[in-house]
Amino acid sequence: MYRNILCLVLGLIIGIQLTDFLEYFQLTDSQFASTSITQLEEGASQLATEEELALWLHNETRVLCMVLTLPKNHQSRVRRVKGTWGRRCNKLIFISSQEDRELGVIDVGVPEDRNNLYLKMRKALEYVYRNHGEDYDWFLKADDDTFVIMENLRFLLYPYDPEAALYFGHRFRTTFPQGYMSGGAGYVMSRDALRRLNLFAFNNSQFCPINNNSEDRQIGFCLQNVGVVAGDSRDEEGRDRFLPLSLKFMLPTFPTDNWLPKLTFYEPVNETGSTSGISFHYVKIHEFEMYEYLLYRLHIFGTPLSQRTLPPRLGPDELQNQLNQWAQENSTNSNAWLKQE
Amino acid sequence: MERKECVFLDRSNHSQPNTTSPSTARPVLFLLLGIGIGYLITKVLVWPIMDLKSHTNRTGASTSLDIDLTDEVRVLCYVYTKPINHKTQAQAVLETWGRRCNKLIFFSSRSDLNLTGSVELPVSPYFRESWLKTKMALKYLHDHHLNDADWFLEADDETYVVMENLRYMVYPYSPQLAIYFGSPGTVMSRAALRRLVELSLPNPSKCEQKNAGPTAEKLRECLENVNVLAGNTYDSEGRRRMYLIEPQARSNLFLHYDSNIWFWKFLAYRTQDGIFAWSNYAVSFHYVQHRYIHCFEYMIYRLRTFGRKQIVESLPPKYNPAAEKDQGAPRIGSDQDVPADYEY
Repeated sequence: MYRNILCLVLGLIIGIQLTDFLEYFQLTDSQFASTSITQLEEGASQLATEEELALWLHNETRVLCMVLTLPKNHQSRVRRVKGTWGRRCNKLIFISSQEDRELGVIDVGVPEDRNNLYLKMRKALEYVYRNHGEDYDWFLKADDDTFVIMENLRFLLYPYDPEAALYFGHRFRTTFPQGYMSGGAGYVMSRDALRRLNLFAFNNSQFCPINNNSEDRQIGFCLQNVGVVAGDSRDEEGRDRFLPLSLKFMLPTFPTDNWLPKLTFYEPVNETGSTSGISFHYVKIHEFEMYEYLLYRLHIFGTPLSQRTLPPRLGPDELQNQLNQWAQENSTNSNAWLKQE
Repeated sequence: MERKECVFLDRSNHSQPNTTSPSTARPVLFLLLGIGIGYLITKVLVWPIMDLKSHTNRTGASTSLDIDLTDEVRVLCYVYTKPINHKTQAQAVLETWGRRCNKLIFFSSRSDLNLTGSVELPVSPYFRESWLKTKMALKYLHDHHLNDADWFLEADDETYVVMENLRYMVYPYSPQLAIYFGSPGTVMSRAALRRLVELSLPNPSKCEQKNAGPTAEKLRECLENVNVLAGNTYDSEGRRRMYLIEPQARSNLFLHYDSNIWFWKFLAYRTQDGIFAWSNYAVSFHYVQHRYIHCFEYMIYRLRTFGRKQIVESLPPKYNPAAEKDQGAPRIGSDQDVPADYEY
């Protein structure tokens, strides 16, 4: 009798300590790597600061950015993107119909037309896969009127293995069950997702037909058909990190008078504005520098920020469970569907 | 002898299995059960709490770096608005930066129960600002709120103010020193307000009596004619802190931005080369539409870039007018009847 109770208590203590130790080991694993970098640069440093973690993360989670643009925007939007958030990509490529080496713009040979966006995107993905498919972990698609906070994107992506077939963005619902990610808000796919798309989807007219449908919806269809899972990018408060509309229409509450509440996959959270937001859409030309100023230069006097750490990496089993859960997920949006769908 | 030995052996064989097998099996099971329960407890209870803590926005004065000047530098914000703007622009101010003022007053042509702090002035409902309205507002503040604040910030409902940076800018100066910063978007000390209302406004030779015309130049003249000092609104690197305007933000369907048109050139001139010449401790932005006011609030106070550089900040030394007077050259032709550092 007493032995049984004693063993139960002992097991309880061992269980708590063991779990605590394992979790701590996961955290210190990343911090240790960061600290080793810090020691090389700055000498002895006990704990990595958030800034140091972000510097380390820049090369740990490598993101290639594909920005779709058109020739008339090269001297305005492309320059703005290149001078603001594009600088923080590991690799930045502009996809257009006229080459410009100075700006890093490539010509994919698709004439500019609204109906050609999907074909243009396919060409871009083929180009990126052929030239950079194994050099980066994640591949971000954005428009030239998108603003992306790359540090927060890496913060989101860090727990996930780029060899998992996975992609993130602002999730929309549609006739096929997984839905698709908003093109304007930008979406980011893993290395394996890009590989599957190029090896198994693009040469299969059933999985991935060529048509005039909208680019983001068709890419979502192709990704679903080759087993790429749509991940949930919302923060811990359920707020969207990828915003498919202009920031000023997404604040301070979720818009109710347009198409967005009917199309979004998850039930809209009334109070918007994630603390770790990632992207905004319909950014005007002057807003690029304004956002750069507000996010990276402006300081509030006397308000130090608490230091955060990185979320733990998911192990193989945890990741598989998460992917299965996301793959089985149904839309939680209780609003009426868009009529055209 | 043999009988005794047999009896002994029989006893030992019989008793051992009874006593040992139950005790070895059950404790191990309980041990494993305990480990499992411990694992679940840690997973479910401990780590989620720790995760939530790491996402807090502000430490709440738990570190020495946290400098809160809210009570030390009290600022009364008075905002010019008009009835048509109550539900949009004024409401946006009320919901965002207005909360960080020690006191917030909206001056309009009618009071509004839904707009907290609104004060009715007998002026035209079609103009947000006018010289008559400004004079009435200043008298109202002097008569009702002179001791409620150290500094008085003038703004309109298309303004966004970072109150922490405003307090940081005016911190070195005593409210007993007659000094003002910026015009329009003026912030003046209590002594400056007293001097302005008591000595300048009633005096035709020091302050414009006519009610028509733009406000900013008139107010600046009235202040300077009674020796109110003009404070420096630039930072240590010569970058502008107040009256920040993004000219292209003013474009709309009817007024497209074109860098060749004189109007946009004029605005660009006033912004002094644009965003790159703005201070890292900016105080006030102007011509901010109400949706942008919410954008500013989100991007400045809520949205956090992972790895944002931390700066160790400290308060500047207090401004010593006596030392300043000794070092500075005397101003030629200045009106000497009221000394600049006169304390009330």
